[in-house]
Amino acid sequence: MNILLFGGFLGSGKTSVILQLAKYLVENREETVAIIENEIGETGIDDKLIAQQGLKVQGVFAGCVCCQITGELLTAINEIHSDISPDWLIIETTGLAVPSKVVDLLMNYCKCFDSLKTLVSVDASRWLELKEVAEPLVVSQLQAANVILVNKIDLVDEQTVKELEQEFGQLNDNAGIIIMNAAKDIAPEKLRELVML
Amino acid sequence: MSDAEAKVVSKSIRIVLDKPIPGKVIADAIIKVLTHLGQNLNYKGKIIGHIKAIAEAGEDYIQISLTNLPDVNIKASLAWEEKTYTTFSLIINIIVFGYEKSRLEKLLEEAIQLTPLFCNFTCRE
Repeated sequence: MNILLFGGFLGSGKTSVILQLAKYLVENREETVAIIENEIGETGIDDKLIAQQGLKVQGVFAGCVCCQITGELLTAINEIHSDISPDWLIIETTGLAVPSKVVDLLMNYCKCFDSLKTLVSVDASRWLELKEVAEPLVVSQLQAANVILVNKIDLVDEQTVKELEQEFGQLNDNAGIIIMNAAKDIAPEKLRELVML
Repeated sequence: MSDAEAKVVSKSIRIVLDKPIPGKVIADAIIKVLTHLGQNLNYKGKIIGHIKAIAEAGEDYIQISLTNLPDVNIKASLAWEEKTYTTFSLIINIIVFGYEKSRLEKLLEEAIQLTPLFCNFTCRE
């Protein structure tokens, strides 16, 4: 079972990417996918959206898996592994999560996966304002990424995209950077890149 | 902004109508609620967080989110806007930095009261 951990601030487009990626894996590669949705509220919204697309999804609510409900996440992962054993387990964290804490949790306490890749989405159109209000959080999210998804590029100009790529490259020089507009169809070659191990 | 941490407010209701209402009308009502929230909870026109809602009626659904004023993002089942509904569930989640939770709760109640579709008919939580 390969784990794809999706992080990134609230409204950065994580679910939009996940929906397209899951569809690509199931339809193009005929692989099995399960999804864990973590939402900080008592009631989820994104899990319902994902379930409406016919995808297997398990919700973990009322807290953040990076620090508050770590046990619930581990339980959900183990249950999915024993019940379904999918090729891919996609974990969508809350937008307030610090992905590196989830990575540490999985590396230390979960033995049932073969690989773990962290993808972090960023809303290109709100980056400046997010940094003004929540810099430690959004920077820590980027620094945990194996791949940074610069999303919503349709809402900014080319120069801004170039500047963001440069800034993100300096914040995390180990991460690959993929630019996209997840509100439209993401090209199959980009989806393939997301799952390359 | 008065508060550096994110605050979370959720509301989950079931709306029962006394006559069928088109999905488009329901969508417009949800957009009105989200826009009212966004106009009062933004920072330089951006939501530092997100404001999301989903309405479901069986297999039909519409999810609307707001992160950048004035535009909303909509994901919906193909049939939503063409069909009519007499009952649906509605969940609204607000997670925003910089405001007290009581302010979010007050604005949410205000937004619902300002939207006739959500307060002129039976609402059950």
